[in-house]
Amino acid sequence: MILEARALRKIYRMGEIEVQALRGVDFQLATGELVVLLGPSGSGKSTLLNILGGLDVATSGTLRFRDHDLSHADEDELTRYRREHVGFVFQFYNLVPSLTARENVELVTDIATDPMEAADALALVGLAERLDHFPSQLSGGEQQRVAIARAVAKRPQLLLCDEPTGALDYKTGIKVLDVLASVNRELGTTTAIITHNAPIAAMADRVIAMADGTVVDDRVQTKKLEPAEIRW
Amino acid sequence: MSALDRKLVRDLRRLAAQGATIALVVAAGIAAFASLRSTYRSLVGSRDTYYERERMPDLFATVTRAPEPLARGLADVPGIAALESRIEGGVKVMLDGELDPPTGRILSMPARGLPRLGGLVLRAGRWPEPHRDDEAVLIESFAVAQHIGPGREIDLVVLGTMRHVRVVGVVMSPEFVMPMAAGDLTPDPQRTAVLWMRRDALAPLLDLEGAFDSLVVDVAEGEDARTIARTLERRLAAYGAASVIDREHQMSNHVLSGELSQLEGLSTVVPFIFLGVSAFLVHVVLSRLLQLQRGQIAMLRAIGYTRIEVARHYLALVTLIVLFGAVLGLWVGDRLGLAMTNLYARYFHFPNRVYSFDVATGVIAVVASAGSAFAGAISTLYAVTSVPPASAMQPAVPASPRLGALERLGLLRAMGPVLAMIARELRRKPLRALLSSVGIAFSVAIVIVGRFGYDSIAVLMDVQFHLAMREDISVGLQRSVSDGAVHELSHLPGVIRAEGLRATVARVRHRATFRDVPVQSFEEGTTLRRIVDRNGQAYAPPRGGVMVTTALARILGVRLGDELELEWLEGERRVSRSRVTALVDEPLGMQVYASPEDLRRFLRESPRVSSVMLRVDSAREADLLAALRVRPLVGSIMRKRQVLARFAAQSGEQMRVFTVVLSIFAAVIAIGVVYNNARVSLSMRERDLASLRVLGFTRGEISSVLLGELAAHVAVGIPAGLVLGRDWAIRVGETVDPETYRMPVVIASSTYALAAAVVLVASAVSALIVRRQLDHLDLIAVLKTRE
Repeated sequence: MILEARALRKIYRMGEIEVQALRGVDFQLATGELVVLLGPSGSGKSTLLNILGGLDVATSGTLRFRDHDLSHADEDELTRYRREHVGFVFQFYNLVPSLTARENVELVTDIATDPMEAADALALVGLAERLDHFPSQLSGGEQQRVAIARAVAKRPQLLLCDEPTGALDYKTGIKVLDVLASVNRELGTTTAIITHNAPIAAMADRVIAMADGTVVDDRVQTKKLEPAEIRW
Repeated sequence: MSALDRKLVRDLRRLAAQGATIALVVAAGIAAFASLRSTYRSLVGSRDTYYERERMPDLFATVTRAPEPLARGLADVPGIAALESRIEGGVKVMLDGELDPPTGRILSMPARGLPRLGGLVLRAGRWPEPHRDDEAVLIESFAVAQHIGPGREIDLVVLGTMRHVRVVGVVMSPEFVMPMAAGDLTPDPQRTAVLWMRRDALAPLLDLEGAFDSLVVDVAEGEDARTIARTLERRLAAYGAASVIDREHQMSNHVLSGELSQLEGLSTVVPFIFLGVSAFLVHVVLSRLLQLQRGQIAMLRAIGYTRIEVARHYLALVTLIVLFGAVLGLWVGDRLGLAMTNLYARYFHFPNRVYSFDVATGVIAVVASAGSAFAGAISTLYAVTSVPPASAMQPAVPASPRLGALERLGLLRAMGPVLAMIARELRRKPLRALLSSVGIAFSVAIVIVGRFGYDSIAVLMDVQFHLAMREDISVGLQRSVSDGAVHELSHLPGVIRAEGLRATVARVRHRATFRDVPVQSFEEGTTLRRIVDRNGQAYAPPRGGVMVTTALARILGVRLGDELELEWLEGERRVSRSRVTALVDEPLGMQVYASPEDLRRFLRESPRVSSVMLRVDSAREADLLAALRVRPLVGSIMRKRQVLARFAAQSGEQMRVFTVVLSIFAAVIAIGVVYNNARVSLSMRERDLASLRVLGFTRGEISSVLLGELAAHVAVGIPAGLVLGRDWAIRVGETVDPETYRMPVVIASSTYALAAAVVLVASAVSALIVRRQLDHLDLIAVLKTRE
């Protein structure tokens, strides 16, 4: 197991309303597997991903990354965890608009311990020709691939993707999923993808369904599809 | 260069307009602070150096006539480091074409060599040859104003005798930095002459051979000048009208100190206000700028940048903005300080005008600005990075507007959606609205503080010259004479009315405190002179007691009904006692008024006058001046119109410079606040505004959502600024030395109007720029991206 969570609970205060985002989640990730987390909006999947990636802390419960206890990690430890082990891909790419594709990747390679070359990371996602383009000069799918290149350039053990195709059309979405699948396959990066788009689950080794802050289903898929074979 | 550094460079380029406005606010604060402080310090430094190098005397004694050997004896008085006797008297300079001849002083210099105390600085020509009785040196201020150079021959009237002399040199003297005739309000270099001749040449003219009538003293380090002054007065008492004044009360120095103390007020309170305002605004504006970077900061944190790394990155941005502002501010401050020093130096006649930029002041200004900017940046960064990156990446939680009184009254519905949005936004972010309004109020207040001094002086002048001194010409007599002189002058051509005034000087004592002040009296029914307080209220002259200026009463600690001791500094130095029966809060100077009967009784004299006030038919003024010119009794002539015109010219120039500079600073600050605020609001509400456009709102309508909010800030800020400006003006007014001026803090409506207009225009310009940016808003792009 690379990552193991037990009885995670998360309570948010949104203005005056108290929201129970997670109500006791047990969750595991095995090394090298590609997991898809399915669930409708508000089911708690983003919250879970954020906690798994050290972007947020649980209100209670335990979280272990390998032999590190992250449930009691302080700010510095969480930063080191993100810096050394986790790559993030966000729904809205979160690229720095004033930096080119290469420079956006370099943001990460500048601080990682054993990164790949930014150009190699971009080549890996099929953008070898677009190194010096600014985000505004790239399509949504290309921007998301830059974001993936930025996430994998540090050779993370864990790649966490929050609705990576949420802002993309079908064709572009498939291309992005293809990149994620190949990174998982070729680099052996443990990958978790959040989506509310059920067909995407077909590419996963394991599918976890969430609803209302709890895990409602967890099944291993013996037969998984290539992204190109997925239709929605 | 790391990717983060490249981001820094490109962010700076992207934020150029906002960064520049912030840098300008920083620069304005630093420039105002550094220039005013440097000007003050440079002038004080020039004066001190000058005084020290030329041995400006500590004490100045005058007697009617004392034998020269006495001076040698007095030099042995303990505590005296050096003492020099000399002779001096009044002089009239008869210049061709001058209807009323300039007057002034003529002083002796040693028969050989130069004065040891109150040294002269030769500016052109040479010194008078020993024993030459027709050579003189002339003060530079007068020489320049009258275009008199070495070699020019002029006629002088000394003690009623005409004397032809050749000006061989032009000099400066620390005793005449601001040469000013008695009774004048402002120094008038063109009308105030000071000359020096060899003592053996001057003595017969002043009828002082083998005698002296003036002493200057250098008090030894650590000795008490006052004690020595009292000793000298005692020893000189037998030689007539002995008076010893310290340097503080020496005319030129007193006027100079008054000017410097005004400047000190301006250079103490005002710069701190500027610096404080600018520091505060930079704090606010930078905080908002960084708030906008919330999403990027969270992303950097998410991909593994530590808080320190993120902070360093954004602080570098802040540093570059502040650095740019600081360099610009120091440069402008230096140039401005030099310009202001030169402006003042035109009235202060120093030989060594050393302007030096006050480095310590510069450091303080930069540290304060940078410190405040960093404090603002760090607190914002701390707040933004304290939130887990996951939440920071979410758009800020939408407010949960509560229905307030406006809704309950149905007002918002009546206002329509645009006004309702403005009203709710203001209610939702009261602190932001408050800070913006405070910033705007500050800019308004700055203009008021910069200008009110001139408004106050204008009122003071009005009280003094229109309500109190109602004559057209006042003629100072060489000495007090029988009041028949009034009758005599009343028959001169052009005189419509003539009234006399008796003025003398007394040492006024109450318990242990005393001051040497003028005592004036005029007959009841006098129309050309009135006693008027600083609010313009006229007072009847006192009867059966004395009337005292409030400022003097405060210094002496006397109240109505207390008894004062008056030691008359002319004649036999009699001492009288009188009760204080009235107080008057006059705007200028300190004096005592007595009834003519009382004064006659005190001085044991018949009715006398020392000056005559004239109401004149202006068409015949030239004839009158010509008639006065040849009267030996006439000492000085003050033409009110001339004094006022000169004053208006001098203060008008200073006021124009200050008004322009301060208005620029205020506009910079207003633009800094309004523009940045609008930019930040625009960035934060881009999506809302774009959505409104998509829903069919016009550009005008969406602009009014954004600009309406700004208009509300300005609408609150301007009136608040007017009140704040008044408050600051009162505080600045309190720093002026009450012994010289008691400025009524008056702010003209034109000053209020200017302050409001400057800020209004600056706000409008900022709004227009933002409106243009709003017009070019790319709807689709804004709605598609999240950042």
